[in-house]
Amino acid sequence: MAACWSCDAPTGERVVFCGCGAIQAPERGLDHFAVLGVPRRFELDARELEKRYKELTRKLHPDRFARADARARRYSLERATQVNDAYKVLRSPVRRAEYLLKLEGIDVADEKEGGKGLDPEFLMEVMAEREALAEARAAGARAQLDQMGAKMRARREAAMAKVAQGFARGDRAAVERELKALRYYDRFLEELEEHEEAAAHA
Amino acid sequence: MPEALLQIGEPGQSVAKSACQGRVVGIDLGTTNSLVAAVEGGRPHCLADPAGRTLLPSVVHYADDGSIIVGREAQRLAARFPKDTISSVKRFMGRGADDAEARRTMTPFELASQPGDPVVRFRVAGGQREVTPIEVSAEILRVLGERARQALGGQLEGAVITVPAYFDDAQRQATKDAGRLAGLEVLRLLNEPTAAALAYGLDKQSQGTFAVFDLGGGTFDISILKLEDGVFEVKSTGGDSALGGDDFDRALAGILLGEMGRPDGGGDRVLVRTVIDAARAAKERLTPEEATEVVIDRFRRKVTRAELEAAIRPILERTSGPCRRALKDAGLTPADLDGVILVGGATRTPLVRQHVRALFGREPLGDIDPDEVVALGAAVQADLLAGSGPRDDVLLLDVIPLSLGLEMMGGVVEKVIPRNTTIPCGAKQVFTTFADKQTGFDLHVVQGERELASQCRSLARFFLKGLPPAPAGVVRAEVTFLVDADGILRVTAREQSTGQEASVEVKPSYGLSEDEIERMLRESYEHADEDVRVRLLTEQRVEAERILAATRAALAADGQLLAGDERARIEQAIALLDRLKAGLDGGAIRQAIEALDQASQDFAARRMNQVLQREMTGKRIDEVEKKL
Repeated sequence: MAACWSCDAPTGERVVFCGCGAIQAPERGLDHFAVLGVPRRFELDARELEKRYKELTRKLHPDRFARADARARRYSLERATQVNDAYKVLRSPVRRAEYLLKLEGIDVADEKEGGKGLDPEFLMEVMAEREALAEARAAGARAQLDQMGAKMRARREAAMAKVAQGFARGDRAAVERELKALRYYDRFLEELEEHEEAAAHA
Repeated sequence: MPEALLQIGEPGQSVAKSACQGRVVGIDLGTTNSLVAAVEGGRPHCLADPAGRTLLPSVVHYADDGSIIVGREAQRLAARFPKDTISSVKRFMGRGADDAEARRTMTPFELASQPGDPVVRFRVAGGQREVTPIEVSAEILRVLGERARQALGGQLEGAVITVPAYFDDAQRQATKDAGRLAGLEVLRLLNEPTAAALAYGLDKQSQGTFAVFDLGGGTFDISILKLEDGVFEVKSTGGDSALGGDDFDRALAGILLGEMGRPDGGGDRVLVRTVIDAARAAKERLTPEEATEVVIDRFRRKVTRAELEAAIRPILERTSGPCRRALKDAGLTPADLDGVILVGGATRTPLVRQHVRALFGREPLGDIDPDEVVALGAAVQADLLAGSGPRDDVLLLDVIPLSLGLEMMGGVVEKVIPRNTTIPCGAKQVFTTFADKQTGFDLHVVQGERELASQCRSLARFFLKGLPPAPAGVVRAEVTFLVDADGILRVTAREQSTGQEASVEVKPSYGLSEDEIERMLRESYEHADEDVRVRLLTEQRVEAERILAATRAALAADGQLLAGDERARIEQAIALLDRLKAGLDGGAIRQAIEALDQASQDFAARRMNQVLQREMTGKRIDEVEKKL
């Protein structure tokens, strides 16, 4: 059984603070869900997640340990980093979904895997759309760009809905397909935003 | 039983240090002015110098004789000794010689650093000394620390020092080093806009989303903050670390110099300084007035507010992009904001307020003095960190201002931690070799938003050696980025493909190496010794004067009490002390004082008896005792 580094009392699993008040070393190898203490699933209430995150951060943040000794400061820094990193991933539905797949050994973000598993027709279509975007940008066709953006956002939303459904049905293949498609949609929207930003500057 | 023993623990490992004895302060280390504040009686307030002034001009003068003068006195010397008087040093913090080079046109300082040097060095004290921006900043911090000790009574336990949210890692590191050099324990570096919101939010118990528009002397910051459930969360931040009210002064000075037939000052540093000062004064007068007159020697010119505004409008326009970007990063539009907070002396300029109103579509808040608000907020944070405040439930969540990444093949940047990530945070990236039998990884850590490493700020370079020889793509190195709560980065690289581990740790401190910091610390301790010696000497001299005057007066009044040789001995001791007191040897003066004291002991006793005898006549003994 592990013991507290400060008072040597026995501590159980997943203990953050010993009865003596000392912050304990963070456990290695916990997944992001375990770090935040939320169920490991796709459906998470954003509001609840935020509440949980703030609750933990409030207790663990290095500001709470500014005058504690070096060891407590280090544990607080490590734990707060763990919590921030976990929240960063779980708060975004896309990243959360990708992370769930990754825990199961499927790396959607792997560049080499890129187009694998995607319909060639879909890829052709996306490429054509990116070209149209580049042309509209060059021409400065504002109305057309706005229209393309709205269309792409709608597709993105539909894909997100399918991701949720896929998880609910346990259809990993569908989730993987939609997540890969989402990467294309997001890259398209990013390009569009970059353009808008540049235009706002000019 | 060993139970009790076990609870004692190792020394220094108790959970919290014993309740703090000393005091904590917040310091706004500004480009133009610096302030120190503390929370007393639950409210933050700025600490004043003996003359009642809270603003300390961030100006340091290095005199020929080795003395260092900080603040208003230094400011007065700036026009006469432009090279030896460093102002706006914050602009040079964490900067290499090449960065500063670009801004040299109107800089009156003499740079000792060569192009390519990782740190700027000023040649001061009539060319006898070279100082870095860190040392100059440390002088300012030292004065503020001393002011706080005087005002609060007792030692300082620690300080929170503010930095522009947009400061990169090198600039933060430099600020922390300056604090260390000044003998302060830096509890936390705090972003200035966050400090401002802390000052406002706590005073008003606000909830909501705020933009903080901070235009100081040399830096511009925009931050979007969400205040909710006692958590201050920075949603996004942006800005320009080389844009501020100084640029307004320079723009106006440029016009004046042009009309004087001396564009860019023609190398005349005194003239440039004088004109910039006159421009600043004119700008300040044009806040309440529509027109003013600038007089420099025989040059006279009327300047209207409209003219000033025409000169500064293009500079002010440069704040618009960062504001829009910060809103977008936070996923907000101006209508989503609950308020806009103004910070920095430059926000007093009417055109700035007008500009902010137009940008955000609302009247900005400005009811806390824009010069003091940051220091007040820093004091609040220091108080929170010290755990003595009643608001233990308030917490600040800050973000990194600029993305951190690694240079990849072809010079492109791979972002490892994107900007606006909440700190502390970490990220890991795995890299594989690209050549057969590659023996090392050359790692270049950069900060910035640009695509190419050459366009970003270089933070550190290091080499991971000793890779096992293997075909390309087999050896894997895991690079870990860790950013602490001050926003300072540590990078570790580890090769783990074969179970053999090689690891390198870099603490990027762009500008000054750890050795240099050590040297400076050592020097400051040595100087501290010297300072102590000087103070002792002064004290001995004062004491010598006092005892000489007293003995001479006694001889004049009661000399008849002494025999001839007794008087001669005293006069000999007087002569010795008189001769030594002008010297530099404090110890010798002390000895001479003691010698005189000895020689005149009998004399003093006899005088005392004489007094007693006079007093006792017709008086009761207890009255005499009272007299004694």
